[in-house]
Amino acid sequence: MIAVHDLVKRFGSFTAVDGVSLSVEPGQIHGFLGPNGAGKTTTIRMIAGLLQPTSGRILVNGHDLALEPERAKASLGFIPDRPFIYEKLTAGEFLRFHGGLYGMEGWAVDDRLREMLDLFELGRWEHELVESFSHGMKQRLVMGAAFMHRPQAVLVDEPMVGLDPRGARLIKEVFRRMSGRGVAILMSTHTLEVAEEMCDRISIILKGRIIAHGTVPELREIAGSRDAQLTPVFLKLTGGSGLQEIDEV
Amino acid sequence: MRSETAGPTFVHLLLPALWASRNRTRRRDRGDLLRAGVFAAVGAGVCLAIFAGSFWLNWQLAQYAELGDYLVRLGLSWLFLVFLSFLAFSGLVTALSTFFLAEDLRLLLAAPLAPRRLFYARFGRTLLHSSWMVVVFVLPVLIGAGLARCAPASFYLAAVTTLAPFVVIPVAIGSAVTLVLVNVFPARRARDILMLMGLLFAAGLVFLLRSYGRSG
Repeated sequence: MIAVHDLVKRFGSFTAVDGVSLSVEPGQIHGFLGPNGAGKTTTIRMIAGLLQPTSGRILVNGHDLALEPERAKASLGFIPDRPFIYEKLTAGEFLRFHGGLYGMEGWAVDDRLREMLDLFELGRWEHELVESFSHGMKQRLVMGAAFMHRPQAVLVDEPMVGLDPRGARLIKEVFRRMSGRGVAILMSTHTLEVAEEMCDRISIILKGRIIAHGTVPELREIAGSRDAQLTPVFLKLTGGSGLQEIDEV
Repeated sequence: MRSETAGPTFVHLLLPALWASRNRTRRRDRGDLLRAGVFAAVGAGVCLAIFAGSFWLNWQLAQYAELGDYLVRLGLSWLFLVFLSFLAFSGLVTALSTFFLAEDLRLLLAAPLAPRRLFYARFGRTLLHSSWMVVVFVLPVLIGAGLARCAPASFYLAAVTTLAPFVVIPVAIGSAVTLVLVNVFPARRARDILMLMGLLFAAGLVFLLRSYGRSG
């Protein structure tokens, strides 16, 4: 599970994240929505251990990130918005290296990497250099890497960007399957349809603060909206200013 | 108290660079072999020329008893001073990219890596990137001097053992300066500051050599 308590991040006099608290239970897919610059990526980077919070507490599967960073990170998978892949490695080598970063060795890595390549439909490309991959294939490879070490919690920042419909469907299926196995998933997205379709609970962040959280019907109630779609609810809650920033698929 | 899990070894962190080099060698495009051959030939030619120059100069200076010895000492002091400054500055610049601007840092920092291991791996990379050229150019000079003066085997052993700290210390100092700089300025601004420092460094080096020449 992922639990965040009163998280604050300041850059000089600017407060990017202002007292964010949220909890993602095992088996839950939690959507993290908000307009551009609301603080989604900063929050996710703090949970991933890439940024140090100004104050607040982050627990990943019971491990305090500030006190036990390695244990917390070992049980966490992270799929960033702009992932890095070594272009001169093959897909298999990249997964093997990634597994090694998480302490995986020997046959366990080989078996798991083939499982991941098959799951993300990259089996044929195991021995091909990553530089020859399309954006969607790279995205799927990064997701495979994030699930390599069987994390109990996964952080995903904008998972659907650049994926074709088939790739997007595949990712949705994988996320559902993983949550079915008890993995807690915190997913930041601009694609409201994806959030609506996949997330058990949603938190909406605006100007660094969580302004609403709950299931889609609960959010509809908070916004006082009768619309069936999440888009008008989101716009109502965020003051409509996010209209141009919504990237609907 | 901070915990420290076993995690990947220091060598594991160097694997992407090793595998990438192996893949480059295996998957050659047309003309790659020719380019590599030309590059290797030019490199070998330069090393040979340095060796020949060093050997000839030392051979000639050996004819002039005390003056010859003095001139060899002076020449080597200048050479080592220049290379020392070059190593320190090179370490400064390389550390900025390996420790702070490298693209793979986000991947590594999100992994359960002990900070100490990551630091050593990054320092190893900084050391390799900033010093290989100096080592390649210094070795022929020392071998040339040794052969011209019919030096015993202990000379070569001393040269190699001296070369290691000669390379490690200035690169470590350069890296330390970068770490301090980035704690004061953001990494990208530190890069601009380093460019300015580069100009000052070149000017300082010229001044130092001129003063050293006069006092010598």
